[in-house]
Amino acid sequence: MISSQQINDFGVKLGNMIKQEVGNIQMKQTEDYRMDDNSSVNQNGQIGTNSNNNKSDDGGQRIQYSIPGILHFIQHEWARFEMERSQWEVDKAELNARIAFLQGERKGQENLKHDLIRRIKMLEYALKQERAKYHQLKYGTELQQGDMNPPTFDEPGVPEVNVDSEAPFTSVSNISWKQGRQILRQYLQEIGYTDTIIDVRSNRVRTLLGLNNNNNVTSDDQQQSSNMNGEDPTGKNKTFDVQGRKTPSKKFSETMIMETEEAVMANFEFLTSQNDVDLDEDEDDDDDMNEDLDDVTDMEDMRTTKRKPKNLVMSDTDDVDAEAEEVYNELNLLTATEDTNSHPPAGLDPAHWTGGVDRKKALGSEEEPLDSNLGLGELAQLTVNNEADTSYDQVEGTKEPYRKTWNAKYTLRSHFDPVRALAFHPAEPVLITASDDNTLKLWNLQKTVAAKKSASLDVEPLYTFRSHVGPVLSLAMSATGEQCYSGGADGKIRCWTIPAANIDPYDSYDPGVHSGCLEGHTDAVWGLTIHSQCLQLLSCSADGTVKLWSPAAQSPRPTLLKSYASEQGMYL
Amino acid sequence: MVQHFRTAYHIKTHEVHLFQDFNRWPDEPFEEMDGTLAVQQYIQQQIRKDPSNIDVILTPPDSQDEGVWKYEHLRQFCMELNGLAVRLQYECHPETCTQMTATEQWIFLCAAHKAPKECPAIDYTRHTLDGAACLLNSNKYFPSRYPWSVCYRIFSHAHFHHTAIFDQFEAETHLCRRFTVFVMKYNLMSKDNIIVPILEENNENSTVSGTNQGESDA
Repeated sequence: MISSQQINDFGVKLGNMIKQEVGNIQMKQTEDYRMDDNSSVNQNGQIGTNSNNNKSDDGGQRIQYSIPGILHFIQHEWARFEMERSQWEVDKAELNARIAFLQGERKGQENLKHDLIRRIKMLEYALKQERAKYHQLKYGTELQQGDMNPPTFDEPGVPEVNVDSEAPFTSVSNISWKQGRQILRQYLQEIGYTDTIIDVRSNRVRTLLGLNNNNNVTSDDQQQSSNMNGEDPTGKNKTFDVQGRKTPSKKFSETMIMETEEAVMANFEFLTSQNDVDLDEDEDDDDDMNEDLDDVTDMEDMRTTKRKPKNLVMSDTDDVDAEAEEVYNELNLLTATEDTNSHPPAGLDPAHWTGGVDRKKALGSEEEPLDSNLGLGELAQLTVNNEADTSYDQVEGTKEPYRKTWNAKYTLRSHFDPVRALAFHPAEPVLITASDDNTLKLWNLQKTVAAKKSASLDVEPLYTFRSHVGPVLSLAMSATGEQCYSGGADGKIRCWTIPAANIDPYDSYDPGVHSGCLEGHTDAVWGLTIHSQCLQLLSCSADGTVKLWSPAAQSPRPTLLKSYASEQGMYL
Repeated sequence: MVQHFRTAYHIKTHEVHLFQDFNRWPDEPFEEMDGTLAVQQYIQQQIRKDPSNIDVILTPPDSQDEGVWKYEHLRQFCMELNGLAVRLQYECHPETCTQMTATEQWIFLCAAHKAPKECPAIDYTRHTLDGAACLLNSNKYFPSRYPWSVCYRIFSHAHFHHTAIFDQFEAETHLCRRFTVFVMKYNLMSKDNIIVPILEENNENSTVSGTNQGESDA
């Protein structure tokens, strides 16, 4: 259909048109664009030959905006849009990375919080243990403390603990640390837990503990570790992060990725070349790190903290790179906490709960007794202060059983001779005393006779029961508190109706108070017991008998009181 | 602490002769008694031995502080007066003895009340003994001259109005005689107030109680 001649003609025309267009349409063109333009023009030229052939012939010269020019413009615009779109995508990726980073950071802080709470509980528990130990050493007895159970942690669904049940962390201490490192890395990946977050976390720990020294080193190390993370193919977020930070002005995603890759590669080379040199720095870093962790976990052991990192590094540098050191510390932390979680602490030694198994080996067991004494610092003072409180009961119970813990509240002075017996009213603060001076006296502990100048602080008797001829030896009060019975050396049991507790001490004499006399014993009545329900009275006497009385039937005057006595003739 | 049962039991009614054996410890020398109750213990020991031997009872041990001696005796009097009060309760009723009198000349007002009151004899007795018990056991007011004459009125009332009881009681305890000798020995009461003719029997006629009574009241 279309001859080669035509095509050639069209090509010449097109060439002219392009020249015109270049003059007409003002555009900023880079060489890159020109390349693209040429290619696109070629494409469009072919399209144009299919569809716009006639039009371009007719209106090519007349109209200022020629079809090829428009096409070119459209092509250019399309390219620009494409470019912008890719730019947006890059931005979007950046923002996504940012979001992921922040989420990871948040998670990290939550984990940090839980860890810190756990450590606080652990410390409290350890403090209790220490107290108990101290107390046992000091007093040789067990200290009774309220809560001696190891702290239980309610984990609010933190992935740390719920991670892969097939790899339980309780056994981590038994696995070699390499395996542990693998597991840790896995789990860090799972929760999007980048090294940056670890750094944030350790920084946070530092600030929480007020250890702001070596901040520069830390930031450097942060940078380093983030760079190191670049080599990790799983650290995608990080890669994006680096890219976003370092090449915000680059236009093309391809070039950006290329550049990032280059940077990563460069870093990688830098790392591999510098690895040996880094070790020293990392040792310092690990010093800090360890200090953090140890401060958190075993505050009581400052001395070994100084020593520990050295030990670790010395023993581990052979096959552990610097990064692994960090991870290892983190792992130690975890195993330590998990250890205390899983095992109820068998002993009191602090090394058991502070460090993992490896650490214990590194420390050597002979240091343990010293640890608790040396490093406590202010905590030790705390303990001592609390010790005073907690040991108070104990001391009171065992050491000073004879310490006077009472004060005289009332003094009941009025008897002339020894008091043989006393009986309390079942309900009211009233009591009756029986004495060798032949009398009984009624006292109301709430009614001190203040008006009486002679005994301002004392309780004075409300009533004096006079009827016994001879010492009153025994006393019993009825369950109602209305009657009482007293046995005397004269062998008689006197029945009394107890006056009201608010009686005037110098009221007129009421013969009815002495409501009866139970005669039958021929020698001193040494004991009286009353039945709480059926009002029967049991008396024992020096005459060798025990008599059961029923004093309920009261005749007007005591001399001829009729009473029921069941003489058993018991010999005492 | 050696603490003997220090109470002497000299009250022997015709009904009860039960506590002859009560507190019948072997005597203990005063020097070996210790504690704050030694004097009381000693007095009671002397009384228990022979209540009628007033001279022995009232003789203080060597170097005995006189104040303490008097005080302990007053306590003993008041305690033993309870026995008299017990007996008076059977006979001395407010209806018959509406006032505390010994002779007709004096009516004693009961000082146990805020405003001295004309108590029946039995109440007067009881109130006096109760008040004396509080006073003598108080650690603030001791010794006081107050109870002597007041306590003596119980003897006088019993003597003049309940003679049988008084005589029986006196026969057993010789308390009134001891009391009289005591107060006179230490000049604790005016002689005019000693109206019970208990020492006259030795000094003067034994039949002058009626006339003597009028004289002493006057």
